[in-house]
Amino acid sequence: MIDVPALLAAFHILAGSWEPWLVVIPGLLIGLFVHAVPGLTTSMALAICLPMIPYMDFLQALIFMTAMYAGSLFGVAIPAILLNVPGSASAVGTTFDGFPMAQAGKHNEALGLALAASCAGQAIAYLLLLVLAGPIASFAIKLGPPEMLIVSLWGMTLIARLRGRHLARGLLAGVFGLLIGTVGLSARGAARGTLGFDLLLDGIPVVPAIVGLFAAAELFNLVGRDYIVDDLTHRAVVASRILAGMRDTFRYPGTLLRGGLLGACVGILPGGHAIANLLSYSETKRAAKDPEKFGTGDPRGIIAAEAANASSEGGSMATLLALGIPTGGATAVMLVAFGMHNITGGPAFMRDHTDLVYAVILSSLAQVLLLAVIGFGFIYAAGFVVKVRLRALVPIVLALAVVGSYALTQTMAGPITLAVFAVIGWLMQRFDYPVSAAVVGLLLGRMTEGALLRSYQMSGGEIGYALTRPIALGMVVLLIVSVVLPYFRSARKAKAP
Amino acid sequence: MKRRDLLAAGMASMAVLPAQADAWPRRPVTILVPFDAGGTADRLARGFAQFMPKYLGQPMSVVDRAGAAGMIGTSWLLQQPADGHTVMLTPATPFIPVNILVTNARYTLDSFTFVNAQWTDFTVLLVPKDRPWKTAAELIDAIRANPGKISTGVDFGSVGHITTIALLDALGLGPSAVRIVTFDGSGAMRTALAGGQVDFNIGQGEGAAFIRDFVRPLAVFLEHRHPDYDAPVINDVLAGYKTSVPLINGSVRSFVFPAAFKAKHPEDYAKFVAAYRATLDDPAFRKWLKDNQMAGDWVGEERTTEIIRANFEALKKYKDLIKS
Repeated sequence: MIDVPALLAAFHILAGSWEPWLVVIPGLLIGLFVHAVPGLTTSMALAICLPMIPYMDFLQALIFMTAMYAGSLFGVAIPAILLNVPGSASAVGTTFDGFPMAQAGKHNEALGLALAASCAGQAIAYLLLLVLAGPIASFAIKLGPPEMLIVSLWGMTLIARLRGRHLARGLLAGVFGLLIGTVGLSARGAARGTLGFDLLLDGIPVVPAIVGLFAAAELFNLVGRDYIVDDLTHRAVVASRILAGMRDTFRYPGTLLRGGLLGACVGILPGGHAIANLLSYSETKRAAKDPEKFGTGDPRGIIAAEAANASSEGGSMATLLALGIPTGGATAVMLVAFGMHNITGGPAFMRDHTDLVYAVILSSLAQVLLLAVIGFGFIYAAGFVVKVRLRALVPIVLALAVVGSYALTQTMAGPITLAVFAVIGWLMQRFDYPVSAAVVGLLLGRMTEGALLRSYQMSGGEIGYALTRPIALGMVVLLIVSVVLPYFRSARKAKAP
Repeated sequence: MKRRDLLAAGMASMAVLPAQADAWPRRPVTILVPFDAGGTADRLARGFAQFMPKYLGQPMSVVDRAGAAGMIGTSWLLQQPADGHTVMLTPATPFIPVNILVTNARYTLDSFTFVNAQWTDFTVLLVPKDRPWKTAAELIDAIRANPGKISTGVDFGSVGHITTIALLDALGLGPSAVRIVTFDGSGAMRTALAGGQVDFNIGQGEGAAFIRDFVRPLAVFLEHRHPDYDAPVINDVLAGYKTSVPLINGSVRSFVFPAAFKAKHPEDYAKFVAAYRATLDDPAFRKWLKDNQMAGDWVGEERTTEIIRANFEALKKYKDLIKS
């Protein structure tokens, strides 16, 4: 499936000139800093950089944008691990085990794990792309609302796995999240739960709500303590321990590979990259022999979430590069850059510019190595957060969160959402309701509802329509097997002497 | 004594202000875009922020306030002082009429001055390439022969959606004659169309450029054929069915002021229009527009308001059918 002459041409383009490489490091650095700036998202950062695009040649522009994308995919993990603040939906899974590790003084290892997993995930995705970009993309656009519905239902099974100590409270928290997720205008134009506020027509602003639930609630819990890490001897930034974390990542090749492949598959779905990390976390926890360890600082949790999040980028790049079709905000902005260079997407792009597509993929593989180096330096610097006294750190982080939520929504809706959900989050923790289940519900609510509505509209309400969607039927079977199988296994185990 | 002196000094400086205030704009002008960064309105606004200050005499900055199909940003514009230091750049139709008619916005068309329909899109009927219909008539006949079986993708409340309903209405069919699949935005809808998830779509022509290889155009909703789409004019097709549809413009991107600004400060408004027209005539800006595949037409306030009113009336006519 590899077009060898085009691949050689791509090598030639990349090796023959240093100009395409000029933009890689600035791109990675901007990407790493994106989520350090409150309220900035990857697609906003890409949009802000659009005016520079006409001054670069086309390949340079693509490499610059993929480098930014790659940097930001990992950058978002840093506040998730150190402060329990996920800067976007794609880092929610990272907080589950990342922050407990940081609290236990293993912040060096946790950041190292996240960096290596992120690099490996990206490498897996781009290797897949190199071999299969065309077929992946053609398959991707055959997936529609019914398939999306099955994937979101699959994601929802995570709610039961995040139940905490009480199943009923876990489910209740998940349902609460789902309901909150449906606030606003539906795709059919009906306003639900807006209480007459125009600001709620677009729904609850997701990122401020997540930051409120996770971070603000957690920060209240930290009030009585001096530092994130209690033990003075562990309160250090040690390069060798970051490296050890990076090395440790490869002691779990199964988790890494599962995360990478799952992320690449889910990333090709529209909106899929937001939930890839959750699905991977969920599957890894299900497959583990000791699922009770997850959520207490298990390295596999970080690896699963980060590898899947990173590789979901490759999935969405496949449809962009091979078909010129964006499946998310960031790739939509990249398509604008195509237009600025008078290049129309579509299958003709990959056919006429195979060498360019290969050059982008190859340079992305090289970026992965650079990201490992630059990311290492970046987390070395960021790690010093653990040395800051909490009585200084908590107000700073809260202030940044408030400013960031304002920047995201450009109205008071952001800060108000943050405040309301901080109180809700604190109450939920106080009474042992799992906050993470509510967040998963919140993330999946809108997506699931839209997919369900469109599946119903497309079918005209006829059950027989399902027979025309073999991929969806296959996914239903897999979903049922994956939910039921563990019970069979445990039943067999119980019978065995 | 000190306090009184300060007060006096303050009063004196205030008295001086009106003399300086003659020269509008007195401070930098904000271009409000009621949609996300990276969209067409935002990119056009950033072009103006680069080229227009030369003619305006003050810098311009761009602020994006997205939400509720432009309603959040548009409401915010009306809360600003109507002194011309905030101007909105938006696809005025369909969004302002949709806000008013569908989502019950607390403003009317009379709340605004529409400066100029600078960049107008048109509507086109597309089917995925693997579908059997080669002409619009074949598709129409198929819909009539199989009511409720053929599906169409729409972005809820868009001009494409209204035109779909208008076309069915013109053919004597209700909205339930086809399966209407509602998407959260035109991007998701076009991806689904390219993948053949739905059987046809009526939507904006220029936005569909990136899926052109996946679809076959069957008709354009214009008075004349369009060079980008090899398809007949819809009302020529409908002549065979002895009916016709109103041709509703797609996105009409225009600068928009609160109506109070022009009413209170007509000279300042004229200054803005002069600076705007000078920018449109600037060869460097024209080249920028061309590089970014954008249009820079001048049709003026009167014609723009006419277009928007006509679209508003068409939307009003079909509004109940859309909601059903």
